Amino acid sequence: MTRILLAEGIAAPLLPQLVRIEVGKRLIAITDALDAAGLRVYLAHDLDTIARIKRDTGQILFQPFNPDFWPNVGGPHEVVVVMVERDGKVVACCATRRIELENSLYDNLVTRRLFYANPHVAGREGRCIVTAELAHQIEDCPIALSGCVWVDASVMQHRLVEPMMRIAHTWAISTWYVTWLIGFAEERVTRLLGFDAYGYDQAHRRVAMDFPALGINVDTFLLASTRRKARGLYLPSPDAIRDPSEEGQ
Amino acid sequence: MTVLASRFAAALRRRTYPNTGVRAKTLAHAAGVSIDTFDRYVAGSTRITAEAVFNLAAFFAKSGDHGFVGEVYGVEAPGVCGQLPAVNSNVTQLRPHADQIFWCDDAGNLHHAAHGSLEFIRRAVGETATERFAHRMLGWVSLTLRPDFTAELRYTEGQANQAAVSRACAFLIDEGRKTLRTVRRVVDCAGEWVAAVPASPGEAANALALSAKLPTPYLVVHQLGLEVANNVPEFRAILAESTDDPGSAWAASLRNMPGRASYLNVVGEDVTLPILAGQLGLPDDWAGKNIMAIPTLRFADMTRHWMQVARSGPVLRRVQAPIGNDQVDYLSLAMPDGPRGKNGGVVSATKVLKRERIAA
Repeated sequence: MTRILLAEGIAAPLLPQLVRIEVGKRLIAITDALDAAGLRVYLAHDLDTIARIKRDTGQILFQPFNPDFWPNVGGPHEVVVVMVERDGKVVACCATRRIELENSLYDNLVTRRLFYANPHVAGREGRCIVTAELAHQIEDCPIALSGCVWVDASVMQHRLVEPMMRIAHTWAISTWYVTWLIGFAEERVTRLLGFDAYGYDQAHRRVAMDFPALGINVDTFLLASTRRKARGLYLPSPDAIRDPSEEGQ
Repeated sequence: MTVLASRFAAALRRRTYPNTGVRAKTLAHAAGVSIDTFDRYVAGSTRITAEAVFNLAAFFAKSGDHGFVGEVYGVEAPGVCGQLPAVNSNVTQLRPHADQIFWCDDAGNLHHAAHGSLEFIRRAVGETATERFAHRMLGWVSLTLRPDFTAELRYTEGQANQAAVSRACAFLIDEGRKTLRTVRRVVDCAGEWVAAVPASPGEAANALALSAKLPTPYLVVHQLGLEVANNVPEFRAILAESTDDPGSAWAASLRNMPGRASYLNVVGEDVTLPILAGQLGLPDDWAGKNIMAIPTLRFADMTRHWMQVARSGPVLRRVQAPIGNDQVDYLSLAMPDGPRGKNGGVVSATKVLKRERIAA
């Protein structure tokens, strides 16, 4: 597992200079606060990392993040895994993948191409029922799909979901050209965390996933946020940042 | 008593007898003030000069105490970069026998990282920040001055902050005038550190400025009207002699400016340099080579452009450029040798107006 400290791994090449500086200071404020609680934030850029964490904690791995189904996916241009460690042990994680959508999200869901690089292999049967209207509108564009959010019960009081998702989504919009940020969550999680913690601004009912071979049978909401909305949430407005060189003019 | 004065007084009291073995008289001498003034410093009842602070910082640093400036300016609080003291380059005299690390921040301030780079970044940015983070996300520029009068310059390509770059360029130029000989640029290109060939401080400053899309501090070119050439007797003579016979430009320049004219050959995009004037101080091994073999790419590109223009008729320009260890300010008269046209020879006669040492 190759992991790097957040401060070492982030570059935000898409951001204007003054915005990048402000974002950098915000991220360091987050990691400093976690550091004070003995928690360290790391990044990884491979699916094996998230698969290992899920396996070690006995959870089902969401198919788009399963390296068995996506053997060629990895690297900072495709995957970012945000991990929080305490005493060298991973206590929380989330992952985001950049996906180039061909056709609509609806089409990718019902044909299971969003879940498997090759859905026509034995053992990958299942079905996905999509009634979320937004899935038809998201089409032919790069998206950032987030998932695999997990926080260990021992660190629940630190409310790690929000900072982790903030880091993952900030990475996505500052490093990748993505048009939409999306995720899937069950109704209870959507109501509790979908907006404030996950940072999405839309929740659409519903995307039902039924994959018997993996033991997945869930009824989820499609959570989504446009790049513009995410930028407004995670990045400071360039207009609000005063260039020191312009002072006095 | 102001906060600064009280911090200054407390920092002095901690370092003065009976708390240490250092007497007030010694410190007054180190600060360059009278003992009465020093007593008023300790009492916090007089104005403090920056000179006194730095003199004392230098004095304490000699005995290994590098925390004086930090205590005076109250930089112990984490994440208060704005309160960090910006230093002048005289601090380079503090520890002449060790590497000295400087950081230029996004406010255009220069900071001396007396306790090491990472310690400074953690103090200035945050406990979890790293040097690479400061380079990449904040666009800061770091400089390490070595005792052998060389320096290492680190920044992230395309992401260096303009204020930091301006300050770093000024620092390089300033140090170049004093002792600095060569600067090695180590640039973060898409996550990899790439080291450039060591260059003079002026060339390093130019390259750094270009990466931040700033005007290069040293390379300035102005095209002048040909009437200005009449004010220079040598140029006037060359122009007069070559006007009637275009093929005599080279001969005219040899007669009027021997050793101060170069001959260039333009063939499409290729410009070769068969004969090189020694006056400018350009390396002899450039003779016979394509102009683009000049390591300073912008200088080469600019020269090529002007030579191509000169094939259409005489051109006069004023150039201020770093050549070797000098900043050279010169006039250059370029004119076609032979009939005008796209390809052919160009005679470039130069008259140096000013030459200034910019590197030790």
